[in-house]
Amino acid sequence: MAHQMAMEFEHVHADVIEANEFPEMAGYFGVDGVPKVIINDRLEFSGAIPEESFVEAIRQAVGLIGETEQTE
Amino acid sequence: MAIFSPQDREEISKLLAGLIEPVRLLLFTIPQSGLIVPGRTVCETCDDTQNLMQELVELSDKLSLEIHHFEREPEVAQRYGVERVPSVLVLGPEGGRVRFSGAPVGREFGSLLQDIQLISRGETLLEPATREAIGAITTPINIRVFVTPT
Repeated sequence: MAHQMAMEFEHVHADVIEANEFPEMAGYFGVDGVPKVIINDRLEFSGAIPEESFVEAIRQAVGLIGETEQTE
Repeated sequence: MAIFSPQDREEISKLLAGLIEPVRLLLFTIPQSGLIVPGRTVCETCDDTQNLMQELVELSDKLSLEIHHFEREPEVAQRYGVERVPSVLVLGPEGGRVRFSGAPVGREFGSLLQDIQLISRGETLLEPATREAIGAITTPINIRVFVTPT
């Protein structure tokens, strides 16, 4: 899903990172399971989530909706 | 030694037969000399990734591969926001791009093939509501997805 957003929109960048090859980075972001998604280095979630929830997470990460509405 | 078996080549060729627009793949790498030199970056998967990408682009005339030396071409790496090697970028004709850090093998190879197909056809499978919501956001969105190859 992240890939497709990045393809469609210039302002979306998706970086798929192989956690085993970059352990320092995975450690820095506290990756303990995959897939782990981190948006704007601010908001994270693990596992696959519905598209609608992904969009909500992005809106939250960019500050469009409050953090209290976060569902984990 | 070839990475793809003849069956792999046949299956991947079939998938790539439906490509419409050209897709550029950019590889950022540090070729390994086999010598251990203190201070030189060791990139265990760089050479394998390069071989994999070279074999892949041979399977479709819509695919091209540009190889950039991460350390000797820092301005190119910077332009594409590449900070690690190996990195593979899939670039579409309309500015769409996806970046893979680390060798795109296992399940990620499947993702790479799917990305190539979607970018080439200029279509994604996003819901209209998603398109609208993301299009309405004006600030940059940076999504990191951590994966493992299994």
